[in-house]
Amino acid sequence: MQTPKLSSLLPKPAASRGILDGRALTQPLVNSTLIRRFLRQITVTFLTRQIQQARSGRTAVSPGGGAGPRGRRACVSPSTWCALGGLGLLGASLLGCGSPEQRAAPPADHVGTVPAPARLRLLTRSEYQRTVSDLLGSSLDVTRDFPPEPVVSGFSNNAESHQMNPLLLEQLRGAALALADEATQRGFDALAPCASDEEQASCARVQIQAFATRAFRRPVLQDELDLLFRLYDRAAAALSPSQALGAVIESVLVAPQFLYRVEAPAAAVQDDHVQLGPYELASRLSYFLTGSMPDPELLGAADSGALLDRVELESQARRLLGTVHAPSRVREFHAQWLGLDRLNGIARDGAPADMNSALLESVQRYLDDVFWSETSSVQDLYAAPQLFLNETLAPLYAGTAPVSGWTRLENPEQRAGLLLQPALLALLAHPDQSAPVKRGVFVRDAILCAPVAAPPPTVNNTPPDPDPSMTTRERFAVHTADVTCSKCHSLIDPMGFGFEAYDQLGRYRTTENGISVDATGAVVDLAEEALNGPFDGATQLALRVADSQTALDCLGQKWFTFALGRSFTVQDRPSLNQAVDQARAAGGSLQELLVALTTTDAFQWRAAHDLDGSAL
Amino acid sequence: MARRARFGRERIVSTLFSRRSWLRAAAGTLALPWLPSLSRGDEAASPPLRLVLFFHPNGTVGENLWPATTSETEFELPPILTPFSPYRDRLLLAQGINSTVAQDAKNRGGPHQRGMGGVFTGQMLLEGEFVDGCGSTAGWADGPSVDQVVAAHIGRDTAFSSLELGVRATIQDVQGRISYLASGAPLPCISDPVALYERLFFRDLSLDPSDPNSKARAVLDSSKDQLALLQKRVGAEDRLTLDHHLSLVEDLERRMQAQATTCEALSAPAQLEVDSESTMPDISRNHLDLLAHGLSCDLTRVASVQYSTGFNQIRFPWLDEEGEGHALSHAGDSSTEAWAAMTNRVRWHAEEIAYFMGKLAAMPEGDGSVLDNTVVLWASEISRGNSHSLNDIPYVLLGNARGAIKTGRSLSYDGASSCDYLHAVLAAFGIDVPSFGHPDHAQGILSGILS
Repeated sequence: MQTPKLSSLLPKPAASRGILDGRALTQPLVNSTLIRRFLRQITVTFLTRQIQQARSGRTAVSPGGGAGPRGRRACVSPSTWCALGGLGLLGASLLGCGSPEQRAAPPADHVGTVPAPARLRLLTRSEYQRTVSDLLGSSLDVTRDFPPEPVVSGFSNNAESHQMNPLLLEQLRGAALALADEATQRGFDALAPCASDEEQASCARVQIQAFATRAFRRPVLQDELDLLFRLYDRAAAALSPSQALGAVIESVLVAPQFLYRVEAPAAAVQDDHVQLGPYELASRLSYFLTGSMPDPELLGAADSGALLDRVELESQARRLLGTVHAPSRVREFHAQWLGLDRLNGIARDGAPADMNSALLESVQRYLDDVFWSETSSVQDLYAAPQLFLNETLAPLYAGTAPVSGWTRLENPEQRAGLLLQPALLALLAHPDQSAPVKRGVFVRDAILCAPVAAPPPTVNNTPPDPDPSMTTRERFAVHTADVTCSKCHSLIDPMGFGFEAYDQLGRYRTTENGISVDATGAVVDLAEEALNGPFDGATQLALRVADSQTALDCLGQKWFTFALGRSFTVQDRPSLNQAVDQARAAGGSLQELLVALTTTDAFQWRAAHDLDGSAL
Repeated sequence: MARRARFGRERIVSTLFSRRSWLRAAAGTLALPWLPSLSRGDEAASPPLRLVLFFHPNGTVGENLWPATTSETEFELPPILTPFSPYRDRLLLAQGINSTVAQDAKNRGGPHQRGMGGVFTGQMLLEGEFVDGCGSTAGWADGPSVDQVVAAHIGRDTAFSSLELGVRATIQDVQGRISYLASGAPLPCISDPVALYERLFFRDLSLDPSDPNSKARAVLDSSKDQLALLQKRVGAEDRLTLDHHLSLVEDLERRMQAQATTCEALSAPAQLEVDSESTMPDISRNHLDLLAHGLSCDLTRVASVQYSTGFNQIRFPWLDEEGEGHALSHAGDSSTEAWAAMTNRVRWHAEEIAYFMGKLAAMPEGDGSVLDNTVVLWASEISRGNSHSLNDIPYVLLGNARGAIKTGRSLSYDGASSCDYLHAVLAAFGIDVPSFGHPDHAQGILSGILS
């Protein structure tokens, strides 16, 4: 971390500072509270660092992303920093590192979202893996046998349902052991190198504070630090200093402050909403866009409080999208949104060996191509005629000479966008036939956010026996003929039938069982009128979806769910509208959608509640 | 495949509890059988009782499961049960047990959800956001399952409270869980026998009670203290989350302190693709071999083996060409071919259970075998796929719990509650609770089960 330049910490001119811009026009332009806060933080940060640098005789702060400069004195504890800032409760205030009066009150004309309460969020497997890789520089695959998370609405990072269980606890302990061991053997210089004249015990304390700060994703509180120091001393009595440090690392890796993302209640706020503190925002940002801990630059923006500025936060979001973990995080979203991991277990008649993994890669490459392109638009997502094929897939879907390696096929016949990617069509099928119901349900639910309501409870819904001399469409006609079934199936089946020209492998066909395929379909009863009506062939449907408002709005809801670890609700509508409008204004850009989500109230604010859980 | 990180035994931890290795050197046998000298003191010198649940999805074929008999003790084993011929005298069938709780109008969710949530808990579902195939929504089950209640009583000090094993159990919501630690706290299962193997034999379990400053103890104490610190700083709901976490840490700590069990490792099972339709039989056998071994050396006394999930869509290519399971179970009543295939599939599960029982029978223990001290309870979440019927839940019990259960019989009830049936199972383990499952559906121990 560089020595902070004083000028960069001064409040920016009012015109460009988010907190004082358009949304807060009814407040006095010079907000004395905010200026006071900034001045306090600048002074404390600056002076503390000056003092410590003078003492240690260094001008540069240690590398490795440590929390602050080392000095012969223990680093000024965050409690002191914030006490200097005139704060009340140690713990709660620190976790946001802002006193009640330091947090901004919601601007008077903010968009009207009712923010949800925040809650502890246990790191998922992939988040844990990326985090320990960033924290320790380890490449050990430690999450392989972690139990899978529960899946809610297709997403496996649902905060409420992902809870500790005995198997996971054991696995985490084993992972901590292995990682701490590896770090011990590698040495701790990366955490914070000690001066050659530094004595071991105080150096260890510095290293522990630096490590715990990064691991907890915020300055460590004094009592938390004391526990770690005590552990070190206890372990050092029986083990070598290096092994004792290893014990502390192990303990940090199983500490709840590491395993859970904590958004603490704010005490005594003025309103029933409170903005997340800078460290909380940093974690939300980084886990959303990279699936890992905040990097040094993001933590620096949190340290200085700059992250509370809307412009700064948006710029950090854009920056994070360009970092190393973002592509795998985006892939993770696509896999969960579309249920792509189920491709692993499918069996389809006529499938070549290795088809499953090839299909998964094929659709992921398609999605990557659309998402990371310059235009990155929702229209391309649903309409771009491209396939990514390798040796296994080319014979099935391109019928041309065998290719070698992954090849992009432009304008393949009978393809348009995501809905006609072979991977999806094969996933939404039965082992030996197409599945119009699965396909219809999928489009309504995953793509258009218009799931069919539950059927009324019936005691006996025995279907009639199937007739193998019919086409799928003919066999399914009973769904719409029978009054019990038709309520839902009249919404689902017509859409699904439009995909009948694609078999259980997603190959295009013109006949089934010798009978001509009828790929006419209809969209029924959607809120956006322009979507409703008959169509001939799924390509027409895809293009209609690509041009719709609903598609981007629904995708926004899905990203929202993934970003916040909870389902989208009607309370979130104002925030979503804001984000979708922003994306639409940028040509339906998918990347812009993500950035826009981070600037919404739903992302930056939460309902305030007291320590005893009562809403304020 | 990426190298699996191995934890535990290969770690160099200088203050590792060393008595364990001494015991290992002294043992010399492949699997140290339970010995009276290793008794944990919580029972007289008789071997521990075990409970193992087995689950298969989408119901059964009633006409091929329930004997056509008017006599309790004289009956032919129908096709699904013929694999249990060597174990006739341990068998208890009870037709007419209904999941009344799953059929309660106040319950929520679709039939597979309610069935899965209730089959071993006797509970309704909480509110939640899990959506089933038809758009019904529900949360997890609202109470512990029978295996976890048993584990809390008889498995307090074993290395593992219980083991949850899965064979292609790939759904991660209420349709995919049968075992519950408590309301809203389901237990995930281990799908990969290699992961099970590593968990059983390579977990660093030692916590020497005589060494208060071992690294393991210091780290554990520190983690409990950090939990306590954080609890003071979060809201009420989050405090419950951390409380739950803390209780799990304390449970782990207690097990680590319990007397070390020597259980010599078997050779490792082959690494197989766990979500493939062709490896299912091998995965099943690998799991069952490891589980039998683990039970015999008292690593745990409670387990469940879950074959797939409600609403599964898996095929059984080594048995038939009939397509995926859920659709097959929805065949019309007149589809003789479909129901014959379904019978075969259900029967395959019985063969697996019989294989497992055979392994236990071959392990001497006390004055009998491990099997003599094991109760197996097999069920499905519904009784018939095409109607989603929640009546006549196919509970099949094997094992008399050292005389507590009167086996070798085929009983017929007139719509008894599954809560009361499961309550009887608890009583057979000497567990005295006023009721089991949802109070509206629990009238007390079902008569006719116990001796």
